[in-house]
Amino acid sequence: MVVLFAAASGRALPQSAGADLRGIWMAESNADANLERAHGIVDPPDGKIPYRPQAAAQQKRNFANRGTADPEKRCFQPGIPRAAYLRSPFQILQNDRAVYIVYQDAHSYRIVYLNGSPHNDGLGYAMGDSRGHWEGDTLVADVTSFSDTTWLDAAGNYHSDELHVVERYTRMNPSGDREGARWPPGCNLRKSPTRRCLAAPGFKA
Amino acid sequence: MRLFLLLISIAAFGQPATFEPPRQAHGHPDLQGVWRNASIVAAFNVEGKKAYYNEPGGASVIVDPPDGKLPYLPDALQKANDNHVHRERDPTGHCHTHGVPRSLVPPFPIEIVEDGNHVVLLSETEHSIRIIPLDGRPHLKNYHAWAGDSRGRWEGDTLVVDVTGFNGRTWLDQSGNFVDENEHVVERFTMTGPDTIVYEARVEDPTVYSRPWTLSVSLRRQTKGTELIEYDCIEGERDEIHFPGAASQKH
Repeated sequence: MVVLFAAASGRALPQSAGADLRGIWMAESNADANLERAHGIVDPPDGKIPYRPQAAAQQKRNFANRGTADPEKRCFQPGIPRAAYLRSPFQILQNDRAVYIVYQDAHSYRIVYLNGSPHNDGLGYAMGDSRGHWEGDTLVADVTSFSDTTWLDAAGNYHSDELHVVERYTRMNPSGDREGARWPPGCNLRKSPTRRCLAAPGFKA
Repeated sequence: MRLFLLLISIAAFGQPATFEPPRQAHGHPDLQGVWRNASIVAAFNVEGKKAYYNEPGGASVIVDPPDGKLPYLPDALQKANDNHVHRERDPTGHCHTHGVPRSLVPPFPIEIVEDGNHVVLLSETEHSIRIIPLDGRPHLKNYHAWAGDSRGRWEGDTLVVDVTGFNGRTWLDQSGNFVDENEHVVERFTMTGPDTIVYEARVEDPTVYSRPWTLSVSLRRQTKGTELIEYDCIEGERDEIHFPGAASQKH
């Protein structure tokens, strides 16, 4: 589980269903460095990724080579779920057709279609194929059709192209005004090196 | 009487019927949807070209100057000609993003998203993104990027986007036409029918061109259900197959 922090609010959302998730968000977590160490795994209860034996050996090799083998470090798209807990912001936009998640990292984006359309299966996307629906105020995104070219974190945790992710985005505080959560106006990577918030056009808090 | 008839005929036929665009809740036109540039030739050469194996031809999309030619300064023309010989330098061949106005004219779809705060242009090609705030905030300072820094506003029913802050590395097409870091673009998006947006870009770049020039293309709405697909090209690509020049030299 990863908690995201938001900056920015705006006009009324032009749709009736679901929650207003719009704004610029970033994970308050070290999950990108190491999912297990950051206590990002809530199931199984031991907090460990339940690898098959061969895959555990591959993860160890990945870890040993992580300096050069991490696809994200080579500017490949980050993949899912990793994109949600990178240490760089992303912006959520919404309209009646879809929820759009636009990442600063690798100028990557995803379109989570809400129109009940079926998955585009078997095409091997780094960012998968996302189809979503609302369960009350929770956006549920079903993501399939992955490639095996992305990792889960910088520690070599990984997946195959049979990956299937179900993501749930629930806004915990609708005002977005949790203490310290709002970035100062105009802050950016250069001015605020300890608190990354902006390095791409339009991602201005 | 003759004058009267003339006036009648102008009223009836001389003026195009004003199109009433679909509108968002805030009253401005709803430009959302999946679109594609109707002039495929623009991706190959904005000045127009003959058709060739695997490459469509067509007329120039430069509407000003009237001769359809880019008004290069002499040194810049030399560089454009050199680029044309070395089309393997095309930044998009190396999977860099297209810049402006090139991101509006590839033979790939784009999606326009408006959510009341921003207009966002998502390109299928290079999975590039432009986020255009509409709240009147000023341009970023000392910012230099492939897509530049966009600020939008509505002038009547036309979305006007002012773009500066370029990195000076983008081309305008596959032929080697180019801009540098002094580029300044004013784009105009006007819906002229339910499935048509007229896109105009006025480009100023005093270190490359002797005068501003204007490009115009139509964006056509794609059939219902069209979705952008993930683009498989990694920045820094060195595979020869991605280099248009290298590929065409083998023909």
